[in-house]
Amino acid sequence: MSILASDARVIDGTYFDGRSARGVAARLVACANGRCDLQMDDQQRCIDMASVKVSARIAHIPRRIDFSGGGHFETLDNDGIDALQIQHAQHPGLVQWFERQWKVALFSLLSVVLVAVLFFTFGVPWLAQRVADVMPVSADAHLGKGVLEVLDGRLLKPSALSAERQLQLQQRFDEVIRNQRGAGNWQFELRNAPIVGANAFALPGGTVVMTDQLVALAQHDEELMAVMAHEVGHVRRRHGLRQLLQSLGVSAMAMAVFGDVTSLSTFTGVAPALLQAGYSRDMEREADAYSRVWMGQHGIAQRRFDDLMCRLAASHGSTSGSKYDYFASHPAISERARCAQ
Amino acid sequence: MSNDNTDSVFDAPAPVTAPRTLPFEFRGSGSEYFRIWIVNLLLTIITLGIYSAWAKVRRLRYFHGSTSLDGHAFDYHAEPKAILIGRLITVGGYTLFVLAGKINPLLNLVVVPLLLFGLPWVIMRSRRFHLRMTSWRGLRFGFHGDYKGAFKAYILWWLAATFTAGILFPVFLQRRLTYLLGNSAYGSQRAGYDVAIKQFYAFYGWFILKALGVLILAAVVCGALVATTGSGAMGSAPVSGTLAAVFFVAGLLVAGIYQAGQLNLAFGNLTIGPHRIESTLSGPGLAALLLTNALLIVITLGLYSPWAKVRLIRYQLAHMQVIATGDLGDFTASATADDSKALGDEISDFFDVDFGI
Ligand SMILES: [Zn+2]
Repeated sequence: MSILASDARVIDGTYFDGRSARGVAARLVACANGRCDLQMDDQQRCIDMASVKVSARIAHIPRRIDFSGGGHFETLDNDGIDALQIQHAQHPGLVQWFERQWKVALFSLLSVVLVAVLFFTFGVPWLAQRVADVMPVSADAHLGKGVLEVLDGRLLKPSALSAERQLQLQQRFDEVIRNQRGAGNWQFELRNAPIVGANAFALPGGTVVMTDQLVALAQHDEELMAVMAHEVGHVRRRHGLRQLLQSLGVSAMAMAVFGDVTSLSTFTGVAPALLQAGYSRDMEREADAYSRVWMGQHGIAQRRFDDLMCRLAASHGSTSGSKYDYFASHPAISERARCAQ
Repeated sequence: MSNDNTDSVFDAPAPVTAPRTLPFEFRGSGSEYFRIWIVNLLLTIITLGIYSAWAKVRRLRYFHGSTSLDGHAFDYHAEPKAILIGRLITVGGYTLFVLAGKINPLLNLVVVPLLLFGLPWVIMRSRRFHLRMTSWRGLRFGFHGDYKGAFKAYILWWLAATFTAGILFPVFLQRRLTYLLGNSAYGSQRAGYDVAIKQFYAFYGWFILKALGVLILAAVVCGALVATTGSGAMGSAPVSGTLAAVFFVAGLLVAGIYQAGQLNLAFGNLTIGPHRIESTLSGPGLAALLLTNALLIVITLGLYSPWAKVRLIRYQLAHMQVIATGDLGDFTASATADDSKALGDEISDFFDVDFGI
């Protein structure tokens, strides 16, 4: 309609009474002293601008003025309405101005990317840690419960080691968990795992599982104790619970951002998986550090850890990951241990 | 497709005007929506999610207001505060439930009855809210479906279809669409949706044949590919990648055929008083659009999504039109009370509930 009416003298539009779908051509004119005249074919209404509700401006879509007694005036003359609002000391709103500026759009885009990167690298892990801190320790145990049963049926077989050797290793584990305060019902399990190979993992709550293949790979019991300390580190730092909380946070964010485009579900499924891999890498580093500190405190040479890690890397390059990340997965070996050439 | 049980207003003297074909006009553009989308996103982040309710209203107002019929645009009236309350309850309830379920797995057993009895309520409330908040020419739309109807259509007929190994599936879909569309209203005028079950069986029969055809074609293409490159090449990355791409395209084509057919069956049989809607979407056309949208979104790391959304809506509206008989100004408002509780709509948003249209 009339684009020329930006001086707010005349705003052309349509009036609907709200009782029928029949619209009447109408114009808003002679606005002064907080009042406007709404002129229609056969009648004229005096409108008190303080009593009406003017809709927010969004791009080019029609603007509406809702009258207090029902009925509304609709117009495409957005500039005219803006001028009218300013004339009546009402602010047209900042958001609509933002939405029209490419500068603001570009700034928003950069900010969103920056905030997203910061949030996913620091925010999510930090939040997960805080939430985990307020959750009872029993939550960990519930998380880990049943996982070993499931694995036992599929990937793991009873240990083939002699009872004597098993007892020996149990004593080593007892040494590692001695003086570990609070957290966990500590439990040590040995399993024969031909498919998984040499590995160890911790279940939330305190169960540490080690495979016969890892025991065979070790050349000194202190090497196995270094691994046990690494797994104890996972339990003590509550990595299982934190991982769950982080994945909840990531998927909530992904949904908030791309939620209105349904065909995107595959895309939003991939991003959390990638981020998750990054988080568990951080957790491995944390567990490694835990182990190295423990070794230092108990007079075990740091090279015990390096030796086993390097032999492990040589024996099976890479392992497929699992829900409760295997000891040997994720970070590059060069980063975790110093290997002899 | 004629509808005789219309309001008395329309029964009276037969309309003298010949039926007119009125297209849906869509004036939205990707570049406009991009700016709305990105500002919405930034403000939502800055306000820790609170602004998302205002963002939803602006987004829906933009799409409603960009769509016009017979020279008049649609509008959306929801109050952001009502939406915010609905969102807070939904997110809070969901978070508590997930955490509780992880700690005590027994709680997960409640999910099944919760879904069975909660879903119909969510669907009913969501439709009611969304249609009540939508207007055209100063009149609100409405929804008159009740809980019992939703439970029957969505749960009982779904169970019946499941227990009969899918034989009753078309009946379930017919009940579903009849509930959703037949209970809709514009002003005081109830919509009509009267499609015989055999039309649904015909649609599904054709759909299954077409889907089989597409899949067989994909298998033949893959077979030819493997034959020409030699069976040894099966494991190589470029060959297995091509095979996966062929089946991805085939899957999208099947999805396009299904969605287009379903939309045509739904909106193409909808009547409102003496007026009816025509819907002529084509399956391959929709599939091509979904495919290019998906590719561009992945290539641009999600940046293309506002354009994708605009393209999809423009395409769908371009294939729908109203066949109007008589004056579209004859509608009157209904006396239904304003329903402004958004919880049901927010739950359905959050879980992306599929209404079956
Ligand atoms: Zn580890």
